[in-house]
Amino acid sequence: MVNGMKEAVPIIEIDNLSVTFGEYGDERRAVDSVSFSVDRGETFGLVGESGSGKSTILRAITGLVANEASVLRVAGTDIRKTRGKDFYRKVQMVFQDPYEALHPRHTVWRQLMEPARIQKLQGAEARGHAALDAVGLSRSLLWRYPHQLSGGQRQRVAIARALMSEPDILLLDEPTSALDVSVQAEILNLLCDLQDERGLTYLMVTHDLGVVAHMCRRTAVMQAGVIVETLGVDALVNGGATQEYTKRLIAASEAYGEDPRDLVPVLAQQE
Amino acid sequence: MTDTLLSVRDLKISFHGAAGIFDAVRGVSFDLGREKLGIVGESGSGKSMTGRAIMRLTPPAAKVSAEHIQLGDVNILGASEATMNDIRGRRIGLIMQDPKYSLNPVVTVGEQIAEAYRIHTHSSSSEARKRAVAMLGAVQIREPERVYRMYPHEMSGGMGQRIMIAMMLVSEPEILIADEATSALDVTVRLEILNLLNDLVRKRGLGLIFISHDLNLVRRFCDRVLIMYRGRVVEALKASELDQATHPYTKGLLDAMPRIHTPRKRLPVLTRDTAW
Repeated sequence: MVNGMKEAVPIIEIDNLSVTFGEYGDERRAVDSVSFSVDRGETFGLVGESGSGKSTILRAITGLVANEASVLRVAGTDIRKTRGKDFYRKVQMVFQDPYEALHPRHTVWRQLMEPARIQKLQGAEARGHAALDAVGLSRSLLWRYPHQLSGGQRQRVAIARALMSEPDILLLDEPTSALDVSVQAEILNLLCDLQDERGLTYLMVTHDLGVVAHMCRRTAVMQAGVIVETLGVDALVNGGATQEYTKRLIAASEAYGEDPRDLVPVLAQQE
Repeated sequence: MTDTLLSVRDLKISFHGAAGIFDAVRGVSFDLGREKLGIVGESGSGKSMTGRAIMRLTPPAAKVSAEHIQLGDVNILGASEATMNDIRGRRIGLIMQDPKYSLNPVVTVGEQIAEAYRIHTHSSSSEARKRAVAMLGAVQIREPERVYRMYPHEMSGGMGQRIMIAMMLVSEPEILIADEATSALDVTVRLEILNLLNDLVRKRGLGLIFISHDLNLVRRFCDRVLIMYRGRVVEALKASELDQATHPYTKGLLDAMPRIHTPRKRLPVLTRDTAW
């Protein structure tokens, strides 16, 4: 959803990022020498099957897992060794299952005040109200607990919480795959609106090619810890994938996916 | 293939709690032949409850009533618990979303399949073992002899789901209920499992009830589709004619899905009518 040909300024730069789990002979490379960069204001997708390492990349960026990289920069700042306070304000994460991501015994309001307290944000209350308005949550829900909310409302709370520190980058880890399609549509629309309003950059992990096609301009396709290829979404959906694995992934999504009539041009191109 | 395996008429399920009565299912009727019947709906639409009621596995707090739930010559609603034990697993199989929670973690998968066979047929353990290995082969597991001795934690998601299918099929049921059976699987694995189910329906003349939230998947995979909303079937269609759905809810669901080949700036959002 990047408008036109704005000057491309990379905000996330990653070169040769590796994450290894286990030790001494029982090692497994969950992420293996991965390189890509995300431009300011764009939505970049990470697609792949479970265990391909896509979520691990997000965790490596935020420092939740140990990693090695030749370059790991966010907004020009090297974050390989230390991440300053500024980093945690600029970069926020939204998880797949909002029920697990929210504190079960905190009210909506307290969920929002928590990051404000930790990061010593000024004007926490005003931010809280602004964040609620931004995600379209009614004030009447302020004193509810997560179990008293619907799935869509919970994900809105999680997004509102991420917006508290007015971040530049949201790391989205399958933000809609636990939701019904009608609710998914609402959340995806909300993410697009927020991006238009605030110029947010999204790095979005998903296994759903439909969501990628809708949200992203470019995407990396991952398999077994490796980026198989990085390509524009136009190319991805119009048969421009060069790697066997990408083609297989697309074919599998389409076999029991969309209306067959939409597929005719694609199949013709594959011939 | 018109013979009816299962007939459900006016099924109602309600929960009586402190907060009043909640109607989870409000008058669902359908017949199942030797076909793939999809039941689609969002969370809370009552699709899983409907599946459970057929096996009489609804929670104790649920009140179930119906004109009839007829499985061949048995009326499920009036059947004794002993009859039901004979039906569950033997005549109707149930596959759930996550094999991790459905398999016993401390028993090898082969033994679990063999046990399912032994309980329902009272056969010898060597016969059961032979059947279990054959069944593993039938669900396209390579090296069935080796996999027989493996434990659930050694399985990938796709393999685990195959094990579940093998366990459900070893006693040769007439009906299989798959409740979100492929939702947790990766697309390529999902494809394999669906092809497998498809083969089984064709070759064994099984009746499959495929419960899912994924409209696209169901329209491509099933023969017929029931669309459920808040405990009611709002529309029943041939899967191939889903485009011609007339109910605003069905149309809304179809519209709300992101499409790979026809990008839109915004996704249409479903507006719900309280009258549905």
